Amino acid sequence: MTGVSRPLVIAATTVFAVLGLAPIAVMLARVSGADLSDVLGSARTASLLGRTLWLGLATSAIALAVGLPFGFLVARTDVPGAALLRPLGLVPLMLPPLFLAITWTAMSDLRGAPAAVLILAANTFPLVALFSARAFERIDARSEEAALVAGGARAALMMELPLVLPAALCGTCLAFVLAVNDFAVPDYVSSVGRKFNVYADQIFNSWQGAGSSGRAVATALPLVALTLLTLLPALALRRSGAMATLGGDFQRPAALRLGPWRFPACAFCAACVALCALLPLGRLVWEAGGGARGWTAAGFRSALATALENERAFLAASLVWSALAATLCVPLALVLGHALERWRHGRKLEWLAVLPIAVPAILFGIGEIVLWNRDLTAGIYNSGAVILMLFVGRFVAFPLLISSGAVASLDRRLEEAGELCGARPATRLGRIVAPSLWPSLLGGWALVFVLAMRELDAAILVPAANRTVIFKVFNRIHFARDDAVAALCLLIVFFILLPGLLWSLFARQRLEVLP
Amino acid sequence: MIPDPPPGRRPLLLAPALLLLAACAPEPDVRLYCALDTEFAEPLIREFERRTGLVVEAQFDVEAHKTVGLVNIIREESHRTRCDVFWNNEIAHTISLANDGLLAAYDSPSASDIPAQYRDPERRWTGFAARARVFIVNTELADPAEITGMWDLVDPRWKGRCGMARPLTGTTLTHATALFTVLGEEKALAYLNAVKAGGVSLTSGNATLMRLVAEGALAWGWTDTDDFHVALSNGRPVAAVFPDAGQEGLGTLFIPNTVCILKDAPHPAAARQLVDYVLSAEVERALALSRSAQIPLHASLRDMQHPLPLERMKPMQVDYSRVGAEIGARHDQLAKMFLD
Amino acid sequence: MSVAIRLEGLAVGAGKRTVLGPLDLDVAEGEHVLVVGPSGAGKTTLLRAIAGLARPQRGRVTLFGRTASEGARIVLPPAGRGVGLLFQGGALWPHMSARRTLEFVLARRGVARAARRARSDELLALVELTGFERRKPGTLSGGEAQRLALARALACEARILLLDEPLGPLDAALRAELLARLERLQRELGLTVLHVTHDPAEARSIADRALFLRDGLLVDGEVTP
Repeated sequence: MTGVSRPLVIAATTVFAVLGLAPIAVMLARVSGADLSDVLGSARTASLLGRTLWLGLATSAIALAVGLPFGFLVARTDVPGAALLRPLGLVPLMLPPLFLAITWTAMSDLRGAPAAVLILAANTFPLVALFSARAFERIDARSEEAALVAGGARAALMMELPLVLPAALCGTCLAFVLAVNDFAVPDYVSSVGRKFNVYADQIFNSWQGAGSSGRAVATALPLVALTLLTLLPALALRRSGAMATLGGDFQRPAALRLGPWRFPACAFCAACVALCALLPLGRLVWEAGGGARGWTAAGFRSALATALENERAFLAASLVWSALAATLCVPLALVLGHALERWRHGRKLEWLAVLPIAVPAILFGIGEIVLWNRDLTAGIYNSGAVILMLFVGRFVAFPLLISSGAVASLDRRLEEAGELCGARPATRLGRIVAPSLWPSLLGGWALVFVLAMRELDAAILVPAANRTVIFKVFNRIHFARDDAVAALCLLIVFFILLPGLLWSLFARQRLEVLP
Repeated sequence: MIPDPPPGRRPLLLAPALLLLAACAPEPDVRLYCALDTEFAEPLIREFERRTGLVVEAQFDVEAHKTVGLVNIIREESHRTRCDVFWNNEIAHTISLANDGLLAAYDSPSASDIPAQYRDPERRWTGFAARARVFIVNTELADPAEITGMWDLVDPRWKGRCGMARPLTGTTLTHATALFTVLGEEKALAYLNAVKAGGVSLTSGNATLMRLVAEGALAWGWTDTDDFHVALSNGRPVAAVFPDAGQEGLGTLFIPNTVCILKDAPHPAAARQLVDYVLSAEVERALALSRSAQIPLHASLRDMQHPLPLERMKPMQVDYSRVGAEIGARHDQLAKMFLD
Repeated sequence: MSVAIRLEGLAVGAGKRTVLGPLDLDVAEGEHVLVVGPSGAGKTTLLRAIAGLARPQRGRVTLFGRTASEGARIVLPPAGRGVGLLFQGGALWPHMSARRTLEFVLARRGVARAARRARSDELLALVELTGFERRKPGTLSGGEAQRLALARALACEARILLLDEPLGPLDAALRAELLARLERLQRELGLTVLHVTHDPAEARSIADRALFLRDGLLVDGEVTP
């Protein structure tokens, strides 16, 4: 294990194993052969999986169809307003998908499977856009110019598409994973009428019905397998999508001129942002200000103030736990992500790194109970630390993958120069690698923060989760969608978006999450 | 060579420190798992704290999980019981916990005038402050007088205009299980199959159904009295129908709250104090007069002024123990019926 | 004159394929040896093997009489070999200013904090970058970046300087300037220099001898373009 600090890697691996893998291991230990054969032999399992697969494919197809051109237009062309459209295009990804569901269903008659597909596609297309945009930006200007000279813009696009496709497909795979694991949106959009039952739902049903988590784990295994089967190609696509290296003689390409197509292109991007971000937020603003009773600014302000006053403690708890979890994830992700890339056997262990996100949230939560509700660790279990551990264990995979991707793009010679000078592996990691990757590390921080603020399924099972604001909102949504609930949703959205907002206001450069 | 402190190590060392700090949360005097909505339970809990000086740590459930979350958490934690008192907003799952040997016996003096049918013979749980299964009717869309019994739900004239929650969770599951015990397998299945096939809108929960009726998307449907009263309190044009109240009628299913102490509860003395308080007539009165309009079971409160027309209600005669014993198997059966 | 670099049967592979060697080479102390070869000949691999950044398959590397690697075993780590490497393209740390870059290296070499500033000033003066202390690599021209990279290599207290295509990004005037600087530094500091390039004309004027590398092997005869 050359080039990496052995003690650091061992420490980080131990932390990851305890927080991210142990809850899964204790759950897997509960599965019996009888549970497995029941589940795998059931026709309903196959039918549900098939339906869920369809949901995932449909969602990811739309996400790709929208995200790829969106990413291209805002990253590489002279489309008007690109500087604003690009960050706004990320907003749908940050919104809890349930918020999209409750607003779209309030504004339309869309229900059932089509609603689930469209809402999840709206939520996940920014993933494809993010990967595509970055891939387009990393095409060397000279390659593009050579194609332009050879055959104009069409030739350039045809040259670039194969280069961008691996990254776009990586984003698509992630969109697929999010869609097939979502439980709340299909449940909500079929809360009336024929239930659009998906596999994630079935896991909860089996936990509830059997009273034994072994059956629930067995039920989850096919979905876990499907998710892993999608994540592993996503990791491979991520690698093949890496192109230019930081610090090389890469020349950033200039914006492509669209000519008269600028304005239709702008309309397309604006429509994506409007439908997927502004409209749902606008609906929440309308409901918070009085909605059908008549919107007033005073009513809106009052609803916000009341929500803030009443739920201040919950909001604070959510913010603190999410920020703490994100902060703890960053060094962990840096050490492990670097090791994954630099250690020659690292890539073989990538599947372990993504296991916490491949396992359904509810099982992860039960695993936390089984693992930590012990005499020795009772103090931890009874405190807020357990929710912190849950967030870190579950979400560290995301910044870990971002970091490893960033390290893959880093010129290895920067570290070698440090090695020649006598810098130890840990020093090289902290003083050479980390500063070179700070945008990716910051992006990883933001991602964990967003996910932790939104997390409900696993969190509701641990004691401290009662004190999170998303728990509060989820309960209230089922009773009434009044101005108070809408105002609380808006507050959550505001705080989720706050780090990105602060960055765009005060930082001089754009935050690149992906290398 | 002067070694720099490896900077990457510092945040990793911070982690255990942060955890230890967070782990120093003070132990409460009593720990309550409460399935009743926060809005109704929390003020009562705070009042208990004020009176006794005891600190109560309360954990609630999320609506979508409809109690099952807490019940299953109790089961998962049974190797090291953490919860002292479980305040359930229904009865069947409490009985299943008792049947699994997870509850301790306690004969609370506060429960002395609660009827025997709402008390476990072994005193492992006690029922109080009930909800009833009723029809909520939007008076602008339907005349309540035209709806008298459960079979009206599957009457073709109401096709597409009425609804109920899917009988897979919460009080709807309890209700469906009760129907099996009271009507028998054949009749209960006939009813539920008619519901499935007969143009009855199925929702994810009672609160959703209540909302749909209150907003006029449906004319009427099954819900609980607390959901109905919330709609009424919000000024919606709704009325309650207590079905099958006639002489030969089945009556209305009462689903009481239940409270119990866990076996191996870490704080048994404080747990008993809390249970005595929760089972008091004072708390029942407060719950009756709250937005949830729970129905008091204490004999001493029989004549109290209640927001709902309880005189029109005929309680269903049901063996709750049997309901509790069968609920797991019925869930599996109903899941096969109502889920694709 | 002692032997600064001795390679005996050195072979380096990429996977199962041998990309360099087996080759034998002696470089005397204070000598400036030019190694010329086309792209893919193994020039960079040769330097990396001497620096300890590439693990050989077999053979021995000896530096000033000390065994640095024996077969696939790395005996002396890169930082302990007394070698400075000027990477192709510089490989400067983009977030560190010129002064920070050199002070970072000096700190790793055990130079006391109080002495680091003075030493970094000396090194910058040596490569004529006085006044560039606060500049980051991204703000330097090609020639300035190469000089900073050279200063960094010298900061490693190197007795052996390995140069990987040092003149690559520079125009003719800057090449001449850098060559003159290299010659002066070698003389002043008594460095042994192994200089690899694809350009046969590069550095012929200051090299003591030139060798040709093709397909990983040193060949005899005149260097041909």
